[in-house]
Amino acid sequence: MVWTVGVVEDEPSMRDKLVRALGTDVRWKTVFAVGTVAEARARFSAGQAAPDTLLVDLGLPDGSGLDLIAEARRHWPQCECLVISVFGDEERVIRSVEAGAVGYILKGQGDADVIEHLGYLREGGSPMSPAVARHLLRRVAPTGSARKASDSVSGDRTVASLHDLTQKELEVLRLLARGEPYESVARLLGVTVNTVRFHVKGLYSKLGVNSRQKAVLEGVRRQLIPAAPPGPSEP
Amino acid sequence: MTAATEHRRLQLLLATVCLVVALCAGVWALSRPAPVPVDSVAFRLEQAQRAAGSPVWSTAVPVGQAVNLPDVWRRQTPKISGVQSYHFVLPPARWSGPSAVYIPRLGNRARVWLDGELLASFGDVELGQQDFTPRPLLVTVQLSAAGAAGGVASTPTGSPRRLVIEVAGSATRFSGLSDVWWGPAVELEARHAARDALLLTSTGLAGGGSLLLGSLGLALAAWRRNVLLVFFGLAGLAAGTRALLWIWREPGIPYTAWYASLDACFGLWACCIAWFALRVAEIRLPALEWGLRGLMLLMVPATVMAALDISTRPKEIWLDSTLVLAAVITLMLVGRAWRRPDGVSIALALGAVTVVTLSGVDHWNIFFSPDAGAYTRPYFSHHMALLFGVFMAASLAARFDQAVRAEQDLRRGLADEVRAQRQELETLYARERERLESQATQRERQRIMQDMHDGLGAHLTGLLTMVQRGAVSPGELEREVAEALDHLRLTVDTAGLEGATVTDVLAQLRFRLEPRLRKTGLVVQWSLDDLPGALSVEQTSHVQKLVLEALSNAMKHAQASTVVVAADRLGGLRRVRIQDDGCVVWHPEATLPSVGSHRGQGLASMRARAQALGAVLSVSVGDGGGTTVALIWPEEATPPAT
Repeated sequence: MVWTVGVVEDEPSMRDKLVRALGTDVRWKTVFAVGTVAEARARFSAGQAAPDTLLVDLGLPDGSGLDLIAEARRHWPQCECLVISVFGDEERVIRSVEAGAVGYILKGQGDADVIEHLGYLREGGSPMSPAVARHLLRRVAPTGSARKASDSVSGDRTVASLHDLTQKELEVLRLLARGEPYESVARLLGVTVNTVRFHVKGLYSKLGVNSRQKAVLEGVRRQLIPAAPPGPSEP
Repeated sequence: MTAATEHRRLQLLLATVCLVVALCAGVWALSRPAPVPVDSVAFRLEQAQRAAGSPVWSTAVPVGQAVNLPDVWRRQTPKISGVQSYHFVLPPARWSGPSAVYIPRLGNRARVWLDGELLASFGDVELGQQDFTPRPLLVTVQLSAAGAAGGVASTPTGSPRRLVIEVAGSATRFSGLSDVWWGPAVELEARHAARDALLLTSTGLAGGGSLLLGSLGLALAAWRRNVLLVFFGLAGLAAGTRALLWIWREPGIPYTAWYASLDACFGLWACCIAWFALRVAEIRLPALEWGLRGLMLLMVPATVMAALDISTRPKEIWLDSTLVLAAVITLMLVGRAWRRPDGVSIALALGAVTVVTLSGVDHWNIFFSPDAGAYTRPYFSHHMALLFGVFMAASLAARFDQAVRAEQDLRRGLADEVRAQRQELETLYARERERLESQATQRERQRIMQDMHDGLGAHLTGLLTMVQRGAVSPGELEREVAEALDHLRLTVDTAGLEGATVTDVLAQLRFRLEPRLRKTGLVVQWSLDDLPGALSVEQTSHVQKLVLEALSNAMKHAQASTVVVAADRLGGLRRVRIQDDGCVVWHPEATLPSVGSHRGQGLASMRARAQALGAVLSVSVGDGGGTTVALIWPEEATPPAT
């Protein structure tokens, strides 16, 4: 199976590096690589088929990568957006996830690292720093509620919120917040690394859903948005 | 002077004039003698023969001094007291049916005789324990029962009938005898009943009203703990009690006590209203207050002497002085109302005018009026007390109204003041917050600059030198750049770790360093317990840099293969340990470098950071080699001021 990738990165060397790295692996195929928000938008309006993955740099010359992610989620609901970040710091990661991204890759890694990382992203989730895990724990703390681990597979992820974290997800979060790497988390919990990644992806997804739900509720509360159910085109 | 003040003064003038006119009209209406019916057949007996002592029936012709009625003992010189008998020769009757003798007023007790036969007794003439002064008396004469035909005015022997009214009294109680009516019982009973009812009703109502006001005043005084209301309540009770005592024919207490009670009530009332008026009007005149105290002192002997029938002189002086003082106070109250014509002052002034007017009328009637009819005129002191009570209540209501308005103004003023203060505080707070934010931004900027200089800057400079010398392999170059990038990421992380614990800081450090450390082959074992206590951004940076320095030393200089990074609690202490298995490059006790200047600078930098954290830095060497750097500080540590 071949995964298609779109790249939005304004720095030519970085963009070339990503395209080159993707070209070294037959599982990946770059369908476009552009440097501005306008060029990326042109792809939406041209009705181009959605790539499986969209890599977006946040600091683009003609706009914010965050806005682009939100637009991409509307036009290409099935596309998974990933942020290209230099720092992978708490603030940018959380804002990206809240905008609709499912993870991030760090700039400054070798080609092999990038491919490996993208593979992880497809399989599971991006790295979760202790700071992001801590942020999530703080958001969960007020209720402290958690469902059973079995719910994590059967639960409806599209409507899940942070208050619906499973016990396993909470345990993963606590270990990540202490700086344990995925391998260590997997060993401590007696699961595979892929399971840990799966949980991390779920956590990012819940963080994004939770933020969007909060925004909608706040809008209804302020009577800015009618309290009708979202249309079928909404993700 | 404002137009409003002028307007209030006009109102005051008009109200005073209207009040005086109304009072005079009322006094005139009530003082008029009761009208004699046009078809009256009764005789008015206006002359009598007065003789001291009880009547003597042995003499056929009345003896004594011819007097005109009313005969007021206090007006005689010398004043008369004791028992006096008034002899009348009744004119022939011109009516049929029962006859009656109607006496509008006498003092204080009496017996009525007809031809030597006792018809009626009003009190015990000899004992002197009752007082029938204020109320009219009526004696029905059943002549047929006396053995003669009803309605005739002569004895069976044909001689004229002799009526004797034996009066026992005292000059102190306004004793004497009014004119006497002799006529048909039907007519005189009606006139007696009308006068008695008027007197009882008006005095009873005035007394009852005063008692009610007084009770309310005292209840309010107890509730509100207010001295003014005490004066008000006592005045009302005193006036009410006096009115009821006055119309009580047979009180059942010794006459002297009853008489003294009447005067005491009057004195108490006068003093209370005077104090009340002066306090409410805020008039503080020592001479006036001493005058009032003097009158209170004088009241006691004057009353006692009058009650014991020793002399009425002191009481007359006391009454005159009271009236004079009342007039002075009234003038002051009116003057104050003129100067400050508010509701309180006007009510007090009108009340005082009422008191002076009505007590002046009473005083005139009792002591000075040359009119013989003055003896039977009603007293107005009871009505005066009630009226003044009403004005007192009005002044209190006005005062309450003023207080409520003042309180509302005060509240408004306070609210405005609080609003202004809050606004000022908010402005100050905003400025202070701006200042603090500016300071924090400046500090953070300095920290970032320092970090960039020490971390990224140093790396890039070293890298530049290596590139310029051409002595750098691609692997080394990648490693150096990756390290520089890590430093940059740690600098960025620090900003996001505001309020984090030591464990959070070490966890983030581990997250950043682990991939690169793994590539170097160095085994790092992390053991992080949860340590309490939030760190500031500066403290976070210190912990981060200190651990980095120790790790860097273990990796680059000590050639260690394994490093343990541990965070744990030790009693009330927080401890962070970095323990390597490499060679010793720092002397444990050294403050100066043991080998090489760079390493010495590293240790000095670590000590400075520990000091800034308020922590103790210890460097120890294990028996089998290796170095342990430990950072220990209390959980509630306060870093030294910078």
